[in-house]
Amino acid sequence: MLERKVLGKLEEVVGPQGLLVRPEHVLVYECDGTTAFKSPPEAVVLPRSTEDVSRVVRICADAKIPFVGRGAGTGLSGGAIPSEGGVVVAMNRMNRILSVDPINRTARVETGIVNLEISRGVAEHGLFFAPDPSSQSSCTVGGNIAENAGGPHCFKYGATTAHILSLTVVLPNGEIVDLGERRETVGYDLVGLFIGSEGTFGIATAADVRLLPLPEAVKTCLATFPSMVEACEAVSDIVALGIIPAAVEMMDRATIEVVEAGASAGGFPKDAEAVLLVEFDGAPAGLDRLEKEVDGICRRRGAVAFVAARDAREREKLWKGRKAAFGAMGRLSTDLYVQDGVVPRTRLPEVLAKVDEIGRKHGIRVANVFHAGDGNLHPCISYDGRDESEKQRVLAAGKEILELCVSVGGAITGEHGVGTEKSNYMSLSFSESDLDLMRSIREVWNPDGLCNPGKVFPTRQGCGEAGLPSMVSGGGAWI
Amino acid sequence: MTRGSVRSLLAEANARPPTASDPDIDGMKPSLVLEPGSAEAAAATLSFCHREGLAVVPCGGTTRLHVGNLPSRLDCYLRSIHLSGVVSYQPGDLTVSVEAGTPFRELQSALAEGKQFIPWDPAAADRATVGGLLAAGEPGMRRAPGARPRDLLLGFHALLADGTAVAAGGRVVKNVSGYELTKLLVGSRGTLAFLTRVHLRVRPLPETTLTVAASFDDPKRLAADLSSLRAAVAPPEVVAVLDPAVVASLSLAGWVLLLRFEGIAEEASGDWRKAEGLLRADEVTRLEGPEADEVWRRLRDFPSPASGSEGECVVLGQTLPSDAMRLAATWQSQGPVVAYPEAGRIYTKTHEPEGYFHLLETALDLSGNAILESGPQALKSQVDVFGETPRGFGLMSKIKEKMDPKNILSPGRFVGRL
Repeated sequence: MLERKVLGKLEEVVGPQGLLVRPEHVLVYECDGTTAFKSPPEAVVLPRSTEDVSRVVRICADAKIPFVGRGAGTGLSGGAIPSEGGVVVAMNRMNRILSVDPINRTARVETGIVNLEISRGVAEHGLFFAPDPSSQSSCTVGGNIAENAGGPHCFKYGATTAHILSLTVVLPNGEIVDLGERRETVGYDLVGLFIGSEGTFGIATAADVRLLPLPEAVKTCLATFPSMVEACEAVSDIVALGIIPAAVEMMDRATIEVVEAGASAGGFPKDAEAVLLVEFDGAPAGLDRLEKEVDGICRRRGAVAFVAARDAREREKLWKGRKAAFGAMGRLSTDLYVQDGVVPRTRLPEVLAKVDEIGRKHGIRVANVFHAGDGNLHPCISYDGRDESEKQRVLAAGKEILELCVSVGGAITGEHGVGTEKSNYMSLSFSESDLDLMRSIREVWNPDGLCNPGKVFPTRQGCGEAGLPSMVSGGGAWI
Repeated sequence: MTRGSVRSLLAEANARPPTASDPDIDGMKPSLVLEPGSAEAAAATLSFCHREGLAVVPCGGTTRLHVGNLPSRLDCYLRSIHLSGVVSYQPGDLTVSVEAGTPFRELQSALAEGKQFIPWDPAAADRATVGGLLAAGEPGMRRAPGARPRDLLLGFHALLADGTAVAAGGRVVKNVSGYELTKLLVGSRGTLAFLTRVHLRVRPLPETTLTVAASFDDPKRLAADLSSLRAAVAPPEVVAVLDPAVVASLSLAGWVLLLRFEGIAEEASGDWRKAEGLLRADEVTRLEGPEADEVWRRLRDFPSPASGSEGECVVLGQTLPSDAMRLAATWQSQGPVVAYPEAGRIYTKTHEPEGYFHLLETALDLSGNAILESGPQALKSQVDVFGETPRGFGLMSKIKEKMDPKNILSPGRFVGRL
């Protein structure tokens, strides 16, 4: 329990409306999108300014209370879970666009703003904010910064780190620092280092973001394949064309079935073994030629159908279906384990076949929906968390899939982050020296370890053996 | 260590005294040049230097060695030139793994076979190494987001100051496992670690490249056209502005706006047609083939300190894109100017050492900065060549102290004399 004195100080900063302590009020902050890991906070504070955040953090630091910044809680790695006895600094009231500079194509925003709100807010200038995680209608840019979030269109436009120019950060001792500039600057790239630090370096409260001109035209095509292997081969041929599509997404039969049964059906063919969603953007004349070329490629690789969305509504429907895939999995079972391994794209066919084998070996069904252009897999395993033996089989399969990704030259996470879930798998990719270097960098920012403890790094006992993560029972859906 | 083991260690590192062909740093030469033939030999060498407290300047082709503050100490150059070659290249993955000492041109040739490339245009590409370009964070004139060293470095193997081998990132195009240490090393100028091998993202070669030169008598009209262009077309791959003194040698006239469009044919020519409709230039010329190549080559080499005379100052300004032309016009009174307004970069050179202070002041007035890339030793000893102290300098100092506690890697040379 937090001391009454500490709660009093927190209330002085954020007011009674900005402090939540009753169990029923803090309950929703006990986990992020990974409901299998839970730990309720002692208190949740809702600051309204960088100064509020600084004062809150100072109070926590003085009292040696662990704390974690939180956006919308849509993360998929247990990255925003408070540690025991900790405080959640929920950034949702800091959600404004502070200024837009259409000439230099930048905007200054508070980090609690929802990702999509930035694009909506700058659309009148013909600009948009490129990072587009599937949760973009609810996730915050602060969460995107913490995780270096990606999304389908980062194949062409790059992940969050390519779109953040400067940050205002409250360091774990409460100090406020500005990092980076809207212009090019000198010195170590602290903005680049902070992005993707999973909330362990401090709490970003404001950012200058880079905006891009809205593409003149967009072409979204849907190709239907009789097998995943043929669809993967088509992706290779598309990449070999010498152009970078805006997005290349794939869904397998299991995912299509679930999506089409849900409220956000994309109109995908239910009898397809795999569909490929390919999007190009740019000048209209070029897009028509690309459509013809990609149509030819897909058909040569065995596609049984190839259609292009005729208008914005059709395009949005396809994307809505694709982006609703994780949520739709909730129809299948009480819990969902979404993985995020990455493999070199040319290894996709063999890796997908092996993932299928791993699933069968453990008696579980794996649905695949993923960023094919990037080789970023999202095997989705639906299970009943109340069944302990099933849960263990799911976790064992998950570990094997990540080992497989690393064994072919890939990585354990492409965009969801390490968080709590994959911390013990870090040793699959990194040596103790590599991890020690990362720890030493964390010490520079977060010397007392109070800022989001227990994330990213293997627990010492799990170290080297890459043990299974511990999960609570009866999780709920990981969406 | 015994004398014998030191001797064998130095032999492994191909240690030699510096020769006339080894560049000095502002008049200082090291006692030893170390050119190890393997990452293991480099690790042993660095570990030895660390134990002995020897100041080591990591370098590749030494093409950017002149940039930086005066070294506070200098004992050895640790060169990566024998860590060379493409390790693995799979065009379908859009990635390449390469030893850090590989000359950039060699890498580019290997990638060309897969119809791919790295979108950088460094000067002296036959000597500049991949690791050196990353450490300097200086890819040349192409700086579009998505094309910079920070965007393309996917992972690295490096040696810490004490010789410990570490790796970060990975070989795949998308990866968030662990901290983004790739970002930390890009542009760290050999003050944090010695790169031994890197993994890079590559790009398909563009289907079409179009070069257009538009001449203006009045730089204000050029700036106005630049603003209209920015509002109307997707950013071209390169936008450069050359003042009359620079273009005189290129058989062009007036102030010249040079645009390079790349991409699929319809897009590049469509963007160009749109731009052509907006430009109110006195003359617009589309440059083709060797003529275009020559203009870009000359620009790439501007302002090479080697081409300048003794005592010349080369200065790089950094501003917001919207202020770039204003700074260029101000600076033009002191020397020839080349600006990359979309990147907010302005290059100039001057023979008046005192002129640097004026250049810096005018840049600071626009909330910009001015870096003294090269200049006489007497001037460099008076200033921090990186100009204004950057935000977050306290954290930068702590990172340097944590990663290089004995301060042996390029001591004194970085921003704020780190």
